[in-house]
Amino acid sequence: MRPRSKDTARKDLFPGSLEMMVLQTLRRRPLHGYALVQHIKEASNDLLHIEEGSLYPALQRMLKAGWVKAAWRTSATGRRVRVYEITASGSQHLGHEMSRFEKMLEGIRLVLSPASR
Amino acid sequence: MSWLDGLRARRTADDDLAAEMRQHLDEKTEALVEEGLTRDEAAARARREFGNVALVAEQSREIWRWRLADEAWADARYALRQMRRAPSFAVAAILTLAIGIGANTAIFSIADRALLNPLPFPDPDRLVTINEIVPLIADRPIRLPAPDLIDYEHQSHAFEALGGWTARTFEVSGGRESERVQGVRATASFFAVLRVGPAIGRSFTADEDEGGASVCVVSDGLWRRWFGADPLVLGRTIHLDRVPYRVIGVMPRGFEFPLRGADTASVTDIWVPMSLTPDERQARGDNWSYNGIARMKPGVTLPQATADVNAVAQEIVRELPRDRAGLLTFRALAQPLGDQLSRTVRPLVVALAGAVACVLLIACVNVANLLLARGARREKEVAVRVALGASRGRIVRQLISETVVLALLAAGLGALLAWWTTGVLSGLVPTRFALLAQADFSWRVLFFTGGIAVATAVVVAIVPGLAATRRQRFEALGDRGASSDGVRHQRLRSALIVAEMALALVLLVGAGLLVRSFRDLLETSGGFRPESAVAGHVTLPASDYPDAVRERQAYRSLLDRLRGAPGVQFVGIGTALPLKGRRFERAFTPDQYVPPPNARFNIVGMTTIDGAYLQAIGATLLAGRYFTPEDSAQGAPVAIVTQSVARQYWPGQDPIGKRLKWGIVQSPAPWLTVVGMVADVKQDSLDAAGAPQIYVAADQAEQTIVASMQREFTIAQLRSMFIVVRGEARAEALVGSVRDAVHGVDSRLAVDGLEPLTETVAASAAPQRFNMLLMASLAGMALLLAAIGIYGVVAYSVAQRTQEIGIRLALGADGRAVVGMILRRGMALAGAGVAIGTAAAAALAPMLGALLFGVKPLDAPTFVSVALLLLAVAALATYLPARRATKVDPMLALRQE
Repeated sequence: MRPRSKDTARKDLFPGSLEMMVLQTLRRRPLHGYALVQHIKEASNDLLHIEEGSLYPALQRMLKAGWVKAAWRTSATGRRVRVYEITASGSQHLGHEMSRFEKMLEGIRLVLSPASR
Repeated sequence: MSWLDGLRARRTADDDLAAEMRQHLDEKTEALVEEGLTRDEAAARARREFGNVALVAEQSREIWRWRLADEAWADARYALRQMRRAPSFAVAAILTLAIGIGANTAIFSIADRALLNPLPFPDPDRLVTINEIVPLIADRPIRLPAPDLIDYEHQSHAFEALGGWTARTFEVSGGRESERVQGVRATASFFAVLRVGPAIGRSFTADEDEGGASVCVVSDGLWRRWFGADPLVLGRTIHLDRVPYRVIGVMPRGFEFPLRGADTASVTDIWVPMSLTPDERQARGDNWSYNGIARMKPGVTLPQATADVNAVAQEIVRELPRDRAGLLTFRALAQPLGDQLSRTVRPLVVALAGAVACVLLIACVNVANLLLARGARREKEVAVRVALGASRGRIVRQLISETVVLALLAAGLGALLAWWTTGVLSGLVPTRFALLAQADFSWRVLFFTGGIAVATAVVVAIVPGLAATRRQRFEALGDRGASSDGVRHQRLRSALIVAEMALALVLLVGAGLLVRSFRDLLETSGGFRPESAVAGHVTLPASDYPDAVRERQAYRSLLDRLRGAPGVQFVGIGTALPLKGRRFERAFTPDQYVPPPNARFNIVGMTTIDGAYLQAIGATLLAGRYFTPEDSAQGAPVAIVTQSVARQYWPGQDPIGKRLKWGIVQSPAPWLTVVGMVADVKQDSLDAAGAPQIYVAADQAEQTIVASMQREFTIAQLRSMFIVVRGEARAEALVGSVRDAVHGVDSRLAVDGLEPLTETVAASAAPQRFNMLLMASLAGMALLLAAIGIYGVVAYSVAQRTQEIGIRLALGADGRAVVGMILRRGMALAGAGVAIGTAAAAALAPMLGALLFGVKPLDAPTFVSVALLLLAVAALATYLPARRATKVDPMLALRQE
């Protein structure tokens, strides 16, 4: 059986992490879906593996929220691809999420570091 | 953005997504080919790693869509496709549900009007009747004396308007054959209380009421009948009891008050001002025959309204005339008008509502069973869908939406059925239940139908839906053995059958009790012999017959004419007729009777008769004699009593020769001597007890009655007489003789209700017949559905066990043994259903009490015969498929695998 929606959510690092990575990647340059997957894979040294299936629903969610916009363009290799671009509100959202993420990391670090024991 | 734009945008988004994902897979495949895989391998791996394309697409789409609506639409289309694939299933399910939903819709449309909205007037909750409770007369609320009504109207504070009315009939004449129509004398405030005004013209004013103006408001029906719907009717003259009245208004079509069945026998056609006579105004503490109705001010509660009128009542009690002061006490109260109208039909409607609910449940059980059986056949389809990634909730929802589509189609059909049945039913409704004929298809009814359809669908689908998905998915995909239908599944079906049998039994018991009631009712004696007798009713208009002399002359001449008619044996007239419910109750004083302390007035029905009335109705003379011509104004005053009068006041004694007089002990009326005793005659209806009656001779009425009462009122009563004729001639001939004789006396005089007494009896049993027919047809439906249900389940299980049966037969089992085995199992289910149903019926039957006559709710013969009937039907429904099982060719059965 293929994982269903509940399972994919569980494979996320934490809720919203996929969106954060996608936004962060798109902030550098606009990309289409397949390139996004490849980029995240490479950037994380293959440590992070995006469930390809979960990317498209996530992109649709972000389109609906207005954090990204999409347009059909011709890629360098001559393919018709749908390229996603981050919007201003997407950047804002990313900033917000990043600071939340930092705080959370800090919290986890404090709890887990030996000094606090 | 318009809805259409949204749709278009969504369609583009769908296309974009599909193209995008296709492109993603292409790109990935190419990358993998570059890594050295073959194209096929690469494509397969790309797909595998991408995941379920369809599911991803659906998830992505879901983000954009009004998901539920879209899925519902997709489900509905899917359901319709499924139905086309199995049309016989769809037809069976739709018809079954249509019967259940249709029956519920029909009864709801009736209940909606009769119980929930009986009053078609604005703010009906504020409408009340004003009544008095007079302990000396009865514990129940009764109507009002005229002077009290005036006081309530002028001295109360809790009401926007308070008015009164009293029913009477009018002879309408002039230009064409006279007819006698139902009319009402109403106070000017009557229309203000109801807040309904004429569609044309106006209602009468307080001045017209006080001043006795000859004006009238007519019904839409009379306007069409008598005036040909003339729009210029206002100001035209109509002769009511030969007095010219000016028409000042026409009520709107459908306006009906007082309501036929509740207060009057027929639809009211004329409203005239109450214009109380001086006599009426002075009848303080007497003649409780005026209906008070009122509209409470907004915010006033029922107890406040009651307190308000009762305060007035206590004032009246304090100021009663000297001859009644201290003797008479009473209190007044306000009661919701709607409740009183609903009261007569409530027991029936409640019973019917229960019955149709049972029918619908049985229909649900049948369809659930069909779905279970089909579910088993569709196991693979479901398993494939689950394997393809459909979630379990989605599958259940799909099944539910299939049944919702079924149920909505059934609801459409059911609404049509209901519309048609209520149309037919309203033609059959007996007068007593006139309220039931008023049902109409409002939006509430359609809303109810839709709601009940959806509820039905969910109930029907939830069990098979869960059962379908709970089964092991992979097991179903592979081949399966004959037993994989599952014991649990079989058990579920069995439970449904037991429930169905139990429900059918409950309904059958209800119907059985009503059938017995009806039979008992027809067999009960009304104290008279209806065969070979006809009766009609005439009222002499006061204008042409102003005094007792003219009145007596007219009736004597009528009797003489009829005596000479061919084939006539006995002719008589009387102020009452059996089963017609028209009686005049009077207080009387029996001689030598010592009343118990705090006794009530001795109330008895007084019937004034002339000619051979008692012989004509066929009363049974138990002792003494009938009246003779010697019992005249000059003769000694005499009376004939019914048996219950003798039993109550002179128990164990011979009533002949006893004395009695009208009024209370102090009354100046003369003593009458009892000369005869007849068996009790039922005056109101067959199902009511025989009311005590005293018969007096018309020739002596003036000296024995009038002296003690309001003269005018009594003469008015004597003007209105039933004519009864008994003879060998055919009923039609007798009817003709009566009409001719009446017209011979007065060509303008109308005879109403002229019919054979047998028809009067039939009309009196009409409510019970109606109850019985309705309940029996519902029980018949239930029985049929239950039989189909048990047949279906047994047939299905036989089909499932074809192999097993084939093996048994191959191993030498006797065909009869196989039938016996199947029959035993079927009958075990039916037996369990009957046992549970009997217990349920025993618990519910007492609720039918109000509808029963002569039968106890726990009538053993009914219970036993119904149980036997149901078992017999179940046996037949089981036997048919069982017998087919033995026709199985063992080889064929074994090869089926």
